Amino acid sequence: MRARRLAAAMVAVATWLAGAVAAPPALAADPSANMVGARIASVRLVADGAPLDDPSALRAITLRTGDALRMEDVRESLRHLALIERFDRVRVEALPAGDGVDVQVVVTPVRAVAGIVFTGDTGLPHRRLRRAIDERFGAIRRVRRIDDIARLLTETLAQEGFRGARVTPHVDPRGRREAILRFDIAAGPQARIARSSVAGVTDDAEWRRRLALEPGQAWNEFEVRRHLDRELARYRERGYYEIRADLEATADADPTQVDVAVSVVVGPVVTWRFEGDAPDTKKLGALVPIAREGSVDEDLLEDTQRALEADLRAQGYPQARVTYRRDASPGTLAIVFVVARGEPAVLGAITVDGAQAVTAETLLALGEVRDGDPFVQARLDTAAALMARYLTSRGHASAGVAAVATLRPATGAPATPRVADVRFTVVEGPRTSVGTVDVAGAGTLGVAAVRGVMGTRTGVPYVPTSVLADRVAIERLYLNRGFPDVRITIVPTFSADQSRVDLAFTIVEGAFVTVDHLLITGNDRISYDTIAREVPLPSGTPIGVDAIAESQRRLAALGLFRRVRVDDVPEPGKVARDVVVVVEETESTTFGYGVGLEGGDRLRTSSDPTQPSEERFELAPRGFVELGRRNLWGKNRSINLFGRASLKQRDDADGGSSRLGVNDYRALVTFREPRAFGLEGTIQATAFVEQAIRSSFNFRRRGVNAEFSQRAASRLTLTGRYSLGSTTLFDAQIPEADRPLIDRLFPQVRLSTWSTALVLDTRDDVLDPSRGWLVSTDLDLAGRRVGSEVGYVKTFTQAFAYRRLGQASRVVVAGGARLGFATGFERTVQRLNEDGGPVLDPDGQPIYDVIKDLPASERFYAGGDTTVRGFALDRLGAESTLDRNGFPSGGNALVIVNGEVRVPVTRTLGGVAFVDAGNVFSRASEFDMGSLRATLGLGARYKSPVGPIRIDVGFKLSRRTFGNGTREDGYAIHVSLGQAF
Amino acid sequence: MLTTWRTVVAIAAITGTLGQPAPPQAQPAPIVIDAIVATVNGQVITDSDVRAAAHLAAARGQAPGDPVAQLIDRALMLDEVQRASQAVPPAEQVEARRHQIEAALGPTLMATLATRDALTDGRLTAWLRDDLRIEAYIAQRFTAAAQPTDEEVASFFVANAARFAQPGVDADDAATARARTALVEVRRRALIEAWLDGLRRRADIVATPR
Repeated sequence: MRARRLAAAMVAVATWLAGAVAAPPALAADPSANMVGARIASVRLVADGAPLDDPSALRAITLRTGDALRMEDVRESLRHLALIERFDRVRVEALPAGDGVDVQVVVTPVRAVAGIVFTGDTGLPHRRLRRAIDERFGAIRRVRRIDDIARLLTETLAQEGFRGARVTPHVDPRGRREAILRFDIAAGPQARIARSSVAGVTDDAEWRRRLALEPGQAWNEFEVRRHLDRELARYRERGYYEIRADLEATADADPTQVDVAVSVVVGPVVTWRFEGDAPDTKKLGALVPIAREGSVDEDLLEDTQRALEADLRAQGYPQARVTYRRDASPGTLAIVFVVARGEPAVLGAITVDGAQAVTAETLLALGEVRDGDPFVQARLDTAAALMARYLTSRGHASAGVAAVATLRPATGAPATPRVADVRFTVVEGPRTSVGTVDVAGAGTLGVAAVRGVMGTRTGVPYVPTSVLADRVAIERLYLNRGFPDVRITIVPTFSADQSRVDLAFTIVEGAFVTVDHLLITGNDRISYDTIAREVPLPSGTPIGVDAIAESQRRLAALGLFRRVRVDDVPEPGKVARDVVVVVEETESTTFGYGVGLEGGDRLRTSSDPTQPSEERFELAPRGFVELGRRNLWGKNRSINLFGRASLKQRDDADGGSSRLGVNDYRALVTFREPRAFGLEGTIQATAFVEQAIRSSFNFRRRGVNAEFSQRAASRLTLTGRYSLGSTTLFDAQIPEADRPLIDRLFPQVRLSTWSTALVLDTRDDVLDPSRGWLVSTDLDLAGRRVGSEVGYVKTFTQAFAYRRLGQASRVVVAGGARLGFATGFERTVQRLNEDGGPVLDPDGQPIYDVIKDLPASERFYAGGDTTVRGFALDRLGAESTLDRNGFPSGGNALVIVNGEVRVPVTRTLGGVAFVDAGNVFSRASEFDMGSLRATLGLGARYKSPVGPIRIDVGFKLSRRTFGNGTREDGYAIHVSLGQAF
Repeated sequence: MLTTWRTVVAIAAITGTLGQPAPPQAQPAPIVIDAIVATVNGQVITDSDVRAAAHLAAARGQAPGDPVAQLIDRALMLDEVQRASQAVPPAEQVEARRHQIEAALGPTLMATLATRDALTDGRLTAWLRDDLRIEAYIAQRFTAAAQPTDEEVASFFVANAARFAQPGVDADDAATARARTALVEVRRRALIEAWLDGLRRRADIVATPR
């Protein structure tokens, strides 16, 4: 038995030992160490246990399948993911996978703040608490600021009397990506004023009432300080400029009972006056800032004294002296400025001594001082400085000029100014030329590249500022080529006689820095690729300041972002830098609306048989709404809905009744995509419907456009367009017999048109330009072969120029010219009767008409607020374009010239004077520059926040009499928004 | 006999099973290679930084503390050093510090740190260079400001006489000097702590909960 038990025990032990030996070796103390160096089998980005498709984050990870797992790459990936600020937690994990490892980058996405909620006994209105948050933090986007916000709320509540308030912050998740910040507030009782006192005033009870410091009132430090500031301001308005006050609030054991003590030092009532020669009262506000500063301290009074003296000397009183004294009496303080102007003086003889390299006349012209000018020493010193600077620019580096004025003896004649003779003494010093220019240290970029940006050359005059400019240019060259740490020193070596200087430029290039990775953050709807395309800094390119600025500019120009920042971030231990683009997207949906008023003279039919037509001034209220959606599908695509309507009078055809209504409207939807299909230009597609009220007819039009525009050069844009639309004329005012044949045959016409346009625009402002050019030329071709019922070709060219009268002037001179020509393609059309059947000639043959005109809606018209302003809308034209009542039918040729002077009177008001001339001709062959009709006029402008609002009145230089015996009105009035051209 | 063998086989089977390791798990838990533990004004501090810092501190005989808090403070101080354009220390000084570290840690541990925590030659040199810049900046900024007056030294000596004066021996220059040195160090630490406190309040620090 015993032997049996022994055998069993030995077998058990042996079996256990075998199992123990066959077991896998124990894991190393640091399991991660075993993973480092293994081949990466796969890389995943994981959030909440599921793969995360975040292009910005995926591009931030530098771990690659097939590479060895290196800690440098792990750390770099962690750093990049931190830079894009999308995640609260980031870690890199690895799992064994065959002979390699599967890598997981596990992230916890940042939750966006969806809202802020206050619960509990908040003590203050929620909007007050929210305002405090908005003022301190602006838009709250990160949950992690919650503790800072809680602290702010506690401080705000304490300031307003809730001294024991407790604020407990909570983050309430909403979905996977958002959270509500909830602040549970226990404000507690608001402190009350136990005792209060106001020292230093006679009417302390009244002060306590005004400061809301009555015992028992709620204690609100914020409000009390506001009341105190208001009281101090009232006293200062009454001349108590030295009034001061301190406020102290203390609480004993009970924090809800506060003792408040205010101590006021009222000070005297301060007045000031002048003795002697009183200065110009219009300048007192600027020269004597006692009331504005609310102070009479010595520094301010000394500054005032100097300002008064300087003002008098600038008027030509070189011996002006100002002193001041304080006359104090109980409760009052008078500041007395004693002014002694002295005698006025003017400049007499002006001479220049010592000038050899340049003539005295040249120097005097620079100084701009003449005999008879008021004697102002400061102006003479400025003239001397200008002369010295001129000499320096010509190589006299040590040139100096001194201006000395000598007063002639007084003549004794009353009211006669003294005369001061001025001598400018010039010390030119030697003229120094540049000798050798050595450049050392430009190993990477090369000496030739450095010299290419330098202006300093052998033989040129030595001008220190030019040498400094070269230093800046070289630095910029290096900064743009990947050398952010470049250092440049310049050592000049002068010859003994100072006639020559050798310059040695020494460059320490520093490290060559390239772009490592591009990281983008802040984009929710805009795709990574849309943003990356605007950043011309691919990996490996040299870091450049201009490239970074250009990236920022291009991203801002997209119009998709409220804020854009592009930074280069150094990587610890590496020479390369990451480029981090941080954007804040704009709202993707925009809504706008507006109202306006349009006014002008219009030709209307009249019920007076002796005057079938008349011009009437009409005001037409209008309104618009606009709804837009941008960032469609993550790209810079947008779609816009626009609608505008005006309340206008509509005359029925042939002078029938007239109805007021929404007779003028326009609605369109536009889709726009820059850089569509990989092209550099912009594609735009529009569908529209509109109805417009014109002078001799109204029209209704609907259609679609497709347009492609591309910037051909800096300010030059080329556009190609195709339009398909249908136009219907109605309410024609011209009798049918007098209308062009085409209008009778095609009251409704379908047009299929190809257009091209070239625009050069260098204006500084689209709505109210003060300099620059706008030149454009359009060519339209409508052809029957492309679906148009009527064919024509039309060209229109316009040019406008704007210029300020002087560099400092605000007066703008504007001019413009417009030229248009058109011709219709011949078309033979069978004449039809009212029933649509053919009209036959006496021989029973159908009658055909040949038309060669443009449809009414495509013909040229002139007259109105943007063309020739002495005429009502469309009323300008050669006789052949007007019917007997003066209603225009338009023409195939147009010329308009404009000239205007725009004079600002105040910051918002201005006036214009203009001359407009032009005409419309029935045929291009009838074009005649000698038959232009001219108008002169005046106008007023008001610079509103949305642009200039204008009223123009134009007067005709000659008046026509129509076939019906009526005469044109002598003038026309127009009210509109924006400039006329 | 057969009964004995059956018993032996049964016992062997049971104990063999007990002696064998557990069957392999269906899915091993992932191993954390590295993680962000804090960001300071955009600078990232990782687990590997914490490990490297702990070894470097041990190599220099520095007292252990909260490694993340120490690294946060180090990042704040480095920001100030960069802002002040503190001069880069001489290469010999950096090398001397490097030799000290290598001697204390030994080649094997240095190689492990290079592989596991990316404490490569370049990164170690940069780390030590920054350490020296910080030390120089602190010495320049706070040592002079921490100098006490003679009266303050005297008061400190009296309050802490037991630390500096030898029993039965009158206070001498050496004891006073020791008191002065100790007082300077106390004041210097207080100034540095107040400075760091200000940096922490103004900084954007996010510590990831562990």
